[in-house]
Amino acid sequence: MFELFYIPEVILSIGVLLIIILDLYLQKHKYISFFLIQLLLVIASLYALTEVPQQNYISYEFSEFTSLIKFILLLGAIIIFQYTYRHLNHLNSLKIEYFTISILGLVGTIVMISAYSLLMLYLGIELLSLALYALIGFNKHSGLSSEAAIKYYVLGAMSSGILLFGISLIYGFTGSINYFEIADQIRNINSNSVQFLGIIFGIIFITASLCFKFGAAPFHIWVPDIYQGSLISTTILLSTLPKIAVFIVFLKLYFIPFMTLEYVWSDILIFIGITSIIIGSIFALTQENIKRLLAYSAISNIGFIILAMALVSNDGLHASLYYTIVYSFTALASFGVITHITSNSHGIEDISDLAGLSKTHPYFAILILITMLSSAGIPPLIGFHAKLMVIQALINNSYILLSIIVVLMTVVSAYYYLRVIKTVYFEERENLISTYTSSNILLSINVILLLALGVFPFVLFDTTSYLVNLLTVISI
Amino acid sequence: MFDYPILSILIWLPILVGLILVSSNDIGKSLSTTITLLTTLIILFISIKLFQSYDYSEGNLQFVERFVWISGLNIFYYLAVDGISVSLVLLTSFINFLIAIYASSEDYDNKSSYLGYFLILEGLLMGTFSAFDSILFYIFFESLLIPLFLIIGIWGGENRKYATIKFFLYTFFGSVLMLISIIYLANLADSFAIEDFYYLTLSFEEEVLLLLAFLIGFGIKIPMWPVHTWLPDAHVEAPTSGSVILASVLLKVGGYGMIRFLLPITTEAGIYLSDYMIYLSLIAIIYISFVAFAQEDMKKLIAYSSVAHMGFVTMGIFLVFNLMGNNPTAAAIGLEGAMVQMISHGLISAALFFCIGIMYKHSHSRLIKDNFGVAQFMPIFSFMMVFFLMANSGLPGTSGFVGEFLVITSSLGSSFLFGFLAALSLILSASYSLKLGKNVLFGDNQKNSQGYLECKSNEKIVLGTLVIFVLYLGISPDLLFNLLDKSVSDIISSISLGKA
Repeated sequence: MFELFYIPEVILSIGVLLIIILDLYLQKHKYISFFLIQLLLVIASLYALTEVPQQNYISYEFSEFTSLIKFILLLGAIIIFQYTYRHLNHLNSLKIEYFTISILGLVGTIVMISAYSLLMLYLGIELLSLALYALIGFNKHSGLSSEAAIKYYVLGAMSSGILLFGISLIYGFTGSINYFEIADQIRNINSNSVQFLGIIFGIIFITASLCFKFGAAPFHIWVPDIYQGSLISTTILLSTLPKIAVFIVFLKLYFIPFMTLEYVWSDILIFIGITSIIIGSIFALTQENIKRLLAYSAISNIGFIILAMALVSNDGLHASLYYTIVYSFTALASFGVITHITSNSHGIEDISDLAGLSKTHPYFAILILITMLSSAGIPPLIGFHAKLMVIQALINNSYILLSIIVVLMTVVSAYYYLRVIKTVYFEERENLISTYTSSNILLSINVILLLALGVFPFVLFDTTSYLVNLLTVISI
Repeated sequence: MFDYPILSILIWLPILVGLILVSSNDIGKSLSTTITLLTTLIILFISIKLFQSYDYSEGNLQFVERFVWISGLNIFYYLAVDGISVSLVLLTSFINFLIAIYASSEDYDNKSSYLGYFLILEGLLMGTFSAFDSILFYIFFESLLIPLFLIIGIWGGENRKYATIKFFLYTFFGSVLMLISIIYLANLADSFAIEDFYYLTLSFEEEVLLLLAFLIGFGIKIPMWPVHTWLPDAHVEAPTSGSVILASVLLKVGGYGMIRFLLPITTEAGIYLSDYMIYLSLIAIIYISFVAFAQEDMKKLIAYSSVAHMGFVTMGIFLVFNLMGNNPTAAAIGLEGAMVQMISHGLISAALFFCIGIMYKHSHSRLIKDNFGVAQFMPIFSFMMVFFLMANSGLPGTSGFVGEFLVITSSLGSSFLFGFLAALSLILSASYSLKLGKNVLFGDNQKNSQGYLECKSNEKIVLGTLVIFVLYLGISPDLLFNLLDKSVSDIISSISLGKA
């Protein structure tokens, strides 16, 4: 039983509780608590890497795959906290609770990616959502923030209800909540029976709910409002870690229990994917607020991920995993840059707040240039290779028309990324722009990797293909 | 032949130096100028060395560098050159060297970044002309947009925001369709190497669709009528050196792409559609010449004249389709004419944009009506500008004549009408070139209050070198023919070889 003590989930949960208590005595020295939090994450990530794969837990996965994904999530959290701490400190709204709640959400994501049973999945999702409700409403002086928190809470609760409804339908018609047992049941099912119909309904309910959590169209309405209302540090968190986790959940759910019904969900997911790409690209055109812009950009990126996965092929799977990692990394960089800049001593809200940045802060202007070009999918940046792989997977599976729609939407979305660059580089300064640091090594590395991995894409490519090969439970 | 990777050096040396210049803010104007001059000079020497050690008698690819780049996707880092690439590599390094000389006396905000972006552009252009893996080609082709976008956007004229975004989206739109075609072909050929595409057997419908995609992609870049409208805007707003590199080298990327992709891959469809594509080229040659005549802005006039001259390039390329079956010699002449026209236009348009830039510095206006009587103040400059205008209108003895003559000769092999219409261009281009010269250089100087001063020595060097090369290529074009002959006939034979 003791081996279970040394897993990141347990270390994080216990560690975070200790830090909450310690923090009571360290009110004046928040940096000590923050240091302890970062230390905790580092320890947890080291344990995640050295985790021993276990076979004997039926509703929870301990494999090399999950431990690597855990490591990626923890690494992401460490970077996000680095950006967030200084941002909050700068805006005088630093509270250690912000980080402790985030860590609980992080535990939620880890549970989600390790789940082998629908109930475990639900627990993970709820743990994550609860943390996010609190984080979104964290900026209590802002009306938008409270609105966003309530909106996310109401909609999130409804989507959890739909998820539970789907789970109970699946349970009712297969008699199990374990992924593998459900897979066995579905394999032997007669496609004319009532049971079949019930399972299809269950899958559709679960899909709807997960797409809501993913922020994919047509379940995307909450995304721009919530991104806009929350602090930018919360937006970074929202747009990276949960997306990776939900993506892994998608992989495990569709490719293990629902695999034999691929002909049912594949078309639904292709529809959701292409709709997200179109909506994300077109609606972003008129946005003035940079967080809303990045929200729509996130929607269209999610569309790419879902579309590639919905092809149900090895190259599609690889493309979607690659795209997820590239997208998260790019989102980290683009939000990370923005956390460093303030305009008239507020955080950046509108794109026009960035006008003339290249004259006053050329260093940050270059960072924005690289992240935006990478998001637009311009070679030689890493975003190009991600889009290339998705398009290649589409063409290899003979979806020529879809691939044409996708690239046309890439052109549309290039426009709004260029708009940001245009504001930064070609326009005159309107506001007092300041940054609280002249440069940040972590941020520089983050952004330069977008370029370096674009020139040497095989590094990331080999990593993700290793990850895909670890998914032995999936057979296409 | 060489134990060092000459093509990689040509690509990565300017890019690295450029990145250093861009990231080091304000290292001083003179230091950044010196670094740029030195780098472009080294690159020029290396490309001359490449040219000397290139073996004319062997038409096949030389200086091959081929490594696996992304093994899972079968993408190679595959560089090589043939005669066509070598000529364009030479043009690129030559023009960039001239730009470095010209810019040495100019004053810009943040000059080190300005020069840095030009160096990056130079490296990427070298990559575009020497990449033989289609994805690698696409990456270089597409990355070209970034530095040029910034050059025009940061250092451009008043309406630069509109012009840059239009330019970027236009070309990006064209190239994504090309990307789909490349992936589609690679999926069939199971390889991204361009020469593997040549041996594919495609159905007629596939070929037509691929041809249209490539035609849109490269046609926007060249640009062909009716997708040329981004070019005048971009030219007008670009700073002088930006216009120079855009007109003289970047437009050639489109023509180069057509020769590499369109000709050998989509031959069947090309033969079927060649008449229509030749009509498009003729519209560019004739109609755009009239448009150029009506311009009041000098830069716009030269921009439209570029479109008209690039019409000869596309015409020469498409004539290959038309003539291949019954008259392969004429086809080869057409293709060679297209290549010579590209190189010659590269020199002449660069020179004309330099001239306009020099006048603009004194009069601060690009309008023809604001510039007159220049010859009184700047005799040497005016002599050279008249020479370039003559070359632009295809005067025999200048390089402008050779390309047009070859294309017209070849088109007579196809039909008299094509030859006749193409030959009209000699009159039309003379009319707008001479109109520009007459009004700007020889107008009434009594009313002129502008303080024109004879151009500086570095500007004289730039224009003088261009005069020498335009004359040299016009009088003895053998240099170019030797380089191109074998590669052109190789391409012609690979077209007929791949398809029965």
